[in-house]
Amino acid sequence: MRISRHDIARRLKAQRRPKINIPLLAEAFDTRYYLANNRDVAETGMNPLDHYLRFGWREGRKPNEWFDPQAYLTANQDVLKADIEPLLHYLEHGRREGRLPSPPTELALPRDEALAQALASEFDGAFYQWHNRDVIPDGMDPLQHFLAKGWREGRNPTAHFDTERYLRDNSDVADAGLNPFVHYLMAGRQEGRPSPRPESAAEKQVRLAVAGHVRGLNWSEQHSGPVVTEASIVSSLIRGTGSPLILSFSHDDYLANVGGVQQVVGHECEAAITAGFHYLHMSPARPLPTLAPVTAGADYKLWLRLDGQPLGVATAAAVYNALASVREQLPHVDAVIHDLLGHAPEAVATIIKVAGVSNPLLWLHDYSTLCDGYTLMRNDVEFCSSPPPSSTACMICCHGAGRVSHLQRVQWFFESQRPTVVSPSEVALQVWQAGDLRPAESEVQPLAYLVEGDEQTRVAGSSRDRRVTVAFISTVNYSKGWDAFEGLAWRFAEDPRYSFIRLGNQSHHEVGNGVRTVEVQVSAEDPLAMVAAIQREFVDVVVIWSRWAETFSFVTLESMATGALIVARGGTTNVVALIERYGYKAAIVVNTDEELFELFRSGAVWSAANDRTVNRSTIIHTGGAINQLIRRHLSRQSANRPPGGRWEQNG
Amino acid sequence: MASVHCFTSATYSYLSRVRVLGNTLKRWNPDWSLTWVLPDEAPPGVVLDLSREPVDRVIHLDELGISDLEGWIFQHNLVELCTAVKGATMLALFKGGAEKVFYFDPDIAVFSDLSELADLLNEYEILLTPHQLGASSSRQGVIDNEISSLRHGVYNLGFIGVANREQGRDFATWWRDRLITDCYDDISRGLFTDQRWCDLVPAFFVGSHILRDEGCNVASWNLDTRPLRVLGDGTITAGSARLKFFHFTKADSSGKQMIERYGGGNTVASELLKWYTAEMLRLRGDGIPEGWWAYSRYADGSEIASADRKAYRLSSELRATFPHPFDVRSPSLREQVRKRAE
Repeated sequence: MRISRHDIARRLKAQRRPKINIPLLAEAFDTRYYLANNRDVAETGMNPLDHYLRFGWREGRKPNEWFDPQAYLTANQDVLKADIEPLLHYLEHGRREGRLPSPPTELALPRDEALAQALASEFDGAFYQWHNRDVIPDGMDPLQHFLAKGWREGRNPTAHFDTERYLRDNSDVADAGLNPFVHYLMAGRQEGRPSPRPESAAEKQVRLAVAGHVRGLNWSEQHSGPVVTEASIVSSLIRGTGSPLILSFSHDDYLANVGGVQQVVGHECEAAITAGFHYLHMSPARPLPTLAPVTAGADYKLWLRLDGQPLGVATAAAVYNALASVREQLPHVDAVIHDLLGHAPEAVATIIKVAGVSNPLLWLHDYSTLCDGYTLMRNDVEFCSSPPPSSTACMICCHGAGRVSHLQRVQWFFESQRPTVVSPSEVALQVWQAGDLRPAESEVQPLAYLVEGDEQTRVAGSSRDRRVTVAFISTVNYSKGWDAFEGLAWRFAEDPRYSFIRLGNQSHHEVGNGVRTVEVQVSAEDPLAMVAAIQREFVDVVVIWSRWAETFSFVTLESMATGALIVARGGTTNVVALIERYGYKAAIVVNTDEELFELFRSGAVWSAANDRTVNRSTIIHTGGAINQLIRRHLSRQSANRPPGGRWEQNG
Repeated sequence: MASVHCFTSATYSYLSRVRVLGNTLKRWNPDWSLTWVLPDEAPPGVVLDLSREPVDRVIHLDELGISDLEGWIFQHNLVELCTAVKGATMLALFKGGAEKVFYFDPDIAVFSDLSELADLLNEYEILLTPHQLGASSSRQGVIDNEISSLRHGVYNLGFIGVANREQGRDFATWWRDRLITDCYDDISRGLFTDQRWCDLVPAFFVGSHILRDEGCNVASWNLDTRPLRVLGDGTITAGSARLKFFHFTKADSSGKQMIERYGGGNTVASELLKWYTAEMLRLRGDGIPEGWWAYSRYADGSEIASADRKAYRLSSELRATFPHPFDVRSPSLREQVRKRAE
């Protein structure tokens, strides 16, 4: 065969040009679509694929309905720079690398068959919908939302794929701006890249856990403004010199914040005033999740309330100077410490000493005397029982490094003040005693108790076959077991036996999705608001899944007061202790998250909720430590004064 | 009490890891000494002040009696060189009077008292920790762990314990000799630095002992068979044993994924990893450029290609012609190998 020079030149030229896989391109090229959308091409009579290859893609003309060359080049700068036809790049490389054929919009799902098939079988629409129902517009396909924006917002396409983690672990995918799930399906898994399972709630706890002093860096002063002088404190105290005075310390302003401790302090203050005492409450002006630094000393600022009325902010030095100057005029002073967090124990000791108090009461509302991780959760994830600070567990815990000096300061406080420890429960006292701090005495004083009522209603019969309402009544956080409850709500979202509700004081947006939230605010004025809400919402089951040994459980009492079925986590908890103490029958105790799930799956919870006897009771709040304070006052009075002393005149 | 000497081998860029190893070793075993063999030269301006380090002694390469040192160094990449000095260092410590010597990789941290291991060296002369003590239950585990051990060696040489007695000294001498001549990452030839060599140890040395303590050398490659727990007294356990030391291989990169993959149903592995990462950050060395290794570059600062090292290693002619391979003044090794490549 004779080959002309022209042929040789043409062949050499063809060898230098990248070889174009025309059959592959022709398969994806939609001639009818191209001609219909490009009338000018039709008029020229040119071969449409030839037109597309020579001019069309550079002019942004689409070769088919699902591929957008312009968008592809914009999204993939490497292809743009290489100046190559983008559809063939997509077919030969891009789709395996997880690149998208067209910009993901709310209207267009990928039409590339392999990708569409992979997404259809791997994307979990129900999962995505449930977890993101607050952001997906009504009627929108969850997959469209994920492709259009969800992945950019770090949302997960399934329960088994962590979008952010894949990008963290595969920086090449992140750098290329690719959708990580698409990349994984089309390329990553063939390349042996692991599917990153989403971080569990527990792992997230570990990742975010920081020492108290680090967390406190972002905490600001709750009370600022002009500093109250020593003279001003003196004049306020002088007005009350006819009555005995209680000095009270806690971690924040009990009237400006909501919570169990604040409620106790509120009750105690009211009971003290009723009993004829004055009540000077001191909280750090800048609350902290740890002790105030030693260096703060006398200069750290306290927010003062006298008998519930604000006095203002004063330095610790001004408080003890004021107390020193009026001490002789006060008939009797006693002190109660509800919490030392945010305080400098050295300054608190000075104030107590100046006031002539020798053994203050110290409450165990939490375990902050043992560690600034005051729930005793190692790395905020697992209850640790307060091992020695030299232990390996403390070595790897975020609270461990600061614990030695924390304990030294508290130990010094105990040795110098010899406090009497008041625990809201036996469980808390037992846990705390492992910590090796030595109080003068210790006693148990529950914060509230139940008085059983006479009314009994049997749920069985009248309410069969109905959906039971399952409630979570706590702050939404890991230590309260929210993750376990949220897991139940997700797994049984479509189950006709259950509906899920949360009662509490956080807004819906701070909570996960799929759980109806009812705002309930328990306060000193309305201490039974939760009991009323449980009844109003017809709650059948309360899941109490605290992961630490809470010192007292109002939720348990509130649940028992309404006759709800309690599903509780076993172990060293007050919940179990209260159930046993009151012989409460409508309760199921299991130990693990798996057992909890099984109770719901098997229907054991549903049956027990529908077959219980409701016996409503009343909660009586005790006035904090007021009984102890009165008793101590009376005994000192009888020891030191003749009958008919000042307190009796005022009380 | 017998004198127990530990050593590790690392370049300056691993200073923070050496510090974590030293701090944790001495926290639980305050009487044990730590020697750092340093196959590197200090970055400009960096001076090690041993009084401020948890390290008792530093050994430099020129103290190990290796002949044609410069050429020998050139033949190794970083990991190979750090490994190749282990046998010679162990012998040097024996000569210095150490009765028991433990080697720890610099990315190991110690979590409790190791006196049980020192006691075992009264009975045995060589202690080895296998990568795995039992079969993996998952296919992924077989691939990641068991097949990997078949390629890289049965025993993890991030740890070895040797007594300064007859069998121990024989081992150390043999180990030194093999590592001086053949400590390369060359799996196709059956070599993986020092690890494949030590597959031979149980056959060669009667006094060797396979340490089956699940608390030793815990790492991503065996976590799936020895789950971590924390007891109420603050002790951490791995499987049925107290956690003694954990090997944080590649904790800053791929190893993190593997630890997470095999960490099991609780968070203790994640907690250890977070703690280790934070300690590395806290104890990082000032003024050490990232990835610093003095022998990674020619004298003019240009990077040494691995092909250059290999060509030099395989050619006795090149080694004879260029006894100073880092030197780039003409005629240089670099010129020669590049000319050959063309």
